[in-house]
Amino acid sequence: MNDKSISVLTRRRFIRQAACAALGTAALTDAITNLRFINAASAQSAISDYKALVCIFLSGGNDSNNLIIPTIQSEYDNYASIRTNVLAIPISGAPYVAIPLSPLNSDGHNYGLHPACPELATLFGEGKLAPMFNTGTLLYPLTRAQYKAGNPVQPPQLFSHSDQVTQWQTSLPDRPPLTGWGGRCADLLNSVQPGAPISLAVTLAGANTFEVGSIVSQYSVTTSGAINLSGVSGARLQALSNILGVPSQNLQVQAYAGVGAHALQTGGLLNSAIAPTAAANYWNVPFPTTVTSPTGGTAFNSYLASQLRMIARLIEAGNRSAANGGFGMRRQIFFCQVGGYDLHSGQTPGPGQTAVGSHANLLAELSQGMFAFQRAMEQLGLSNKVTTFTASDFGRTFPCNGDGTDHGWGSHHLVLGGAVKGQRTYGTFPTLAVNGPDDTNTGRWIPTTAVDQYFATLATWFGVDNSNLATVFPNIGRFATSNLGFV
Amino acid sequence: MKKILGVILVLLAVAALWFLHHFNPKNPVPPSGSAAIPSPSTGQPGNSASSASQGLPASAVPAIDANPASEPAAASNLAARAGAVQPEAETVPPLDMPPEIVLQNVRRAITQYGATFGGNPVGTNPEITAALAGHNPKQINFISPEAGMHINNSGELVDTWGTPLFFHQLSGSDTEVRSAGPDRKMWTPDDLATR
Repeated sequence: MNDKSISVLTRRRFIRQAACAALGTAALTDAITNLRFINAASAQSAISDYKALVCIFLSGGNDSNNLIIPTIQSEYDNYASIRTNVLAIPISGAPYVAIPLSPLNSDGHNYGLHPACPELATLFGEGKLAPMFNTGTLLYPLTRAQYKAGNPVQPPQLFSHSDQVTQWQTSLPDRPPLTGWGGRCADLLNSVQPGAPISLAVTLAGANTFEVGSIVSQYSVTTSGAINLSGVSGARLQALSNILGVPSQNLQVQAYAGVGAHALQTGGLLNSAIAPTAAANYWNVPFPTTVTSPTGGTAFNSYLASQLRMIARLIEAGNRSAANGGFGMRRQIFFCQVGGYDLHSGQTPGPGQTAVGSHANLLAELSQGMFAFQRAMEQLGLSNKVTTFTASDFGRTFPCNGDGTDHGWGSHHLVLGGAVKGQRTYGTFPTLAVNGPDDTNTGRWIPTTAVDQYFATLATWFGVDNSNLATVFPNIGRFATSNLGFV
Repeated sequence: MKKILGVILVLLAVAALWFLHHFNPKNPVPPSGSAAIPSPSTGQPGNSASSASQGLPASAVPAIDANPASEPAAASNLAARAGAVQPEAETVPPLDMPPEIVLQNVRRAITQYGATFGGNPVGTNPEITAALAGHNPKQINFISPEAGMHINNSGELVDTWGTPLFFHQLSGSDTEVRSAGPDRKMWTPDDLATR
């Protein structure tokens, strides 16, 4: 009886032991992940130059079907008939028509940009901008027949905002979202800048999945700089710092004080470092504070331009040596975000007014913001060292829903920078046909390029060795190439 | 100890009988208005193999087209969704149930689906309707005509006025269900929405 009582596993005891086991397993897994990154980091090639990656996340799902428009007449006619006069951008005979592009390569199509994007057309013509066609979340390469057959499997929860945002930012659709691919790059490359005063990963748009790492923590900055304690400066700030520096035997109090002191110190350092670029007229091409679409409409404040301006200032400070009051960093990753792209309704004001309205305003903001940012990088002499790219939840349905578009899948994206092999198009433009070879069934394009490939190309440029690519992008081996060659 | 085991076995047997009674895939509850729903073709990826893997005959899958290969209809429905008044032929039988309650019931069905399968159904209205109506890995029918949930001839869940509902997938566990309201035009002030 006694033996039995000893050996019987009670419910409580089972739960207690299972919880401990789960905790232990999780800790072990985390430790293994960290060790893998530490090993991978130690195997990284030495890095001495400066590079920055800037992610512009178009939140809500951009209708890239109207960012890049087919302009061969027969293809355009098909485009116009399906998009209807509520959405279709004219290519002739209207005050505002698609801006024709002249790529150096030929893929059998001709393209135009939305008329609200003349600045992007200029950058494309200068060879600094490249579109990446029909890119989206994938677990394996997928044809329409395979999609219909359900084999190989597709990413879970397609067409769902938060799931697809997470999958874009982790590049791991089939795993729990523990880290983002930017965070994993940061983990890997953090060792190239020991003693860096601020984190390698900086966000202008608050907490995000993209920059979550196992080792590196993302540092949040506002469009005005580091967040200061309100009403605490001078002697008060010194007093607070002194209080936070008082040793405590309580480990929790000690840790809390440490975090507070570090935040104050880092914030002060950052604000000092970016002070020289505070004046708006510092930039040869000013960042717009308000945006008006060249196709018409009213002016509106641009949060995106404010974020990009602060990123430009942080890049200037990041590249500047510590001896000159900068951070002396070698690698930086930035994240900014602009919302409003989820245009189920009101995408345009109505029939015949397709070049104006909500989507035109968003694209004008993107175009003017990216243009000012690129000119800022050129002014700093860092054009070849900074690469900017767009990402979004998903593309949108090709047919008009009557007033806008609904959630799609694959979409076109933009890569910008002096290192970009621009004035060329990359990837495969989808056949714009409902029930066509690239369609699921309602004008949602099955991606022909995986986000893994898109991002692995950027990560390779950023300095992630080929031997470590699978550490950052575990699914990359499922796709034909890990380098799409656009940068 | 044997008594306890016996009680557990009896309870399990009762639960199994209850489950078979309510969720027998061979006798799916026919959704109201589903008479003209297209015949099954290729299934929703990830779901299509379910009948085979569970040893069920193909005929056991409810006659719902999950991944509407009836695509021209789906595409035209998408194009006609907003702004266009639905044809009178699509009108469903009048209900005593308030439209808000119908919407809540649809949302509840989606929530139940999400709880069962670890994520809400996604896609267009016909895809979501098919998933709710039984084209899912367990062939469970979440649609109850008694709860005011009706399907039109195009395989779409419709509101009280016969207009297809709009499903806005915010996350795997959060779906906004929108009705065009009495004017039967989506995105106008009389729309009803729940999540």
